[in-house]
Amino acid sequence: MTQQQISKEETRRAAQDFYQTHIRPIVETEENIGKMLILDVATGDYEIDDMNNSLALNKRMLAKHPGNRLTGFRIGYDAVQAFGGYRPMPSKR
Amino acid sequence: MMTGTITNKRAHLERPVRGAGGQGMVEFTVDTGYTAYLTLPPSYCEALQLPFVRDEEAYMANGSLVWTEIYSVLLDWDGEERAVEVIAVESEPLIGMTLLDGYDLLMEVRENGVVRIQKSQHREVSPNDNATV
Repeated sequence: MTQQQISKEETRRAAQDFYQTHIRPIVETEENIGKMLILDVATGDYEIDDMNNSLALNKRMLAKHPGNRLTGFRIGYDAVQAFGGYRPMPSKR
Repeated sequence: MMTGTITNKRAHLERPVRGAGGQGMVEFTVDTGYTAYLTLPPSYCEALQLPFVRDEEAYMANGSLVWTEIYSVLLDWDGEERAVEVIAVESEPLIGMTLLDGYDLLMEVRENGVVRIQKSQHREVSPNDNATV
């Protein structure tokens, strides 16, 4: 099945499951907390960089996996960005 | 330096944006409670034919989590065109704190008051920016 045949919702769910199960236990170290991680769930490949470099990081990942739907995570948190002044707490998942 | 206006209890700043589908002037609200770069309504992202970047979750004001789509837009920012990430959400277009990083924001908070955004004059606060003292 190609990436295009999988729905947006399925990709997000698979990415979240893959991150929590296979990636988070490895990457959630003190020096990585707060960094950006971008995952290509179709291949399981991911890279980490500072939040300020997220667009460049995304370009690197897309160059390796053209056409794939990528998913972003902020290590140690449940979400990457916040609206309305919400102050993120460490992940509760 | 860029200047905007306080209207209806909001700090507004107009900026030109560009994508493969065209360009236009957008009135953004400066939102210091928003952590990222920009938001645009999904209809704008579609009309400008912005390239899709990725999915990621965001915290709403009450702490709930929502999946969002990130696109890339060309933004005229302080006389320089920059490719920046934009979250597609159904709200008025927002400018967030990551875009404002390294800039000074001054607001004369009264109706029709002036909003000024300029590169930071405080070298000790942002040692890596190109501010001229």
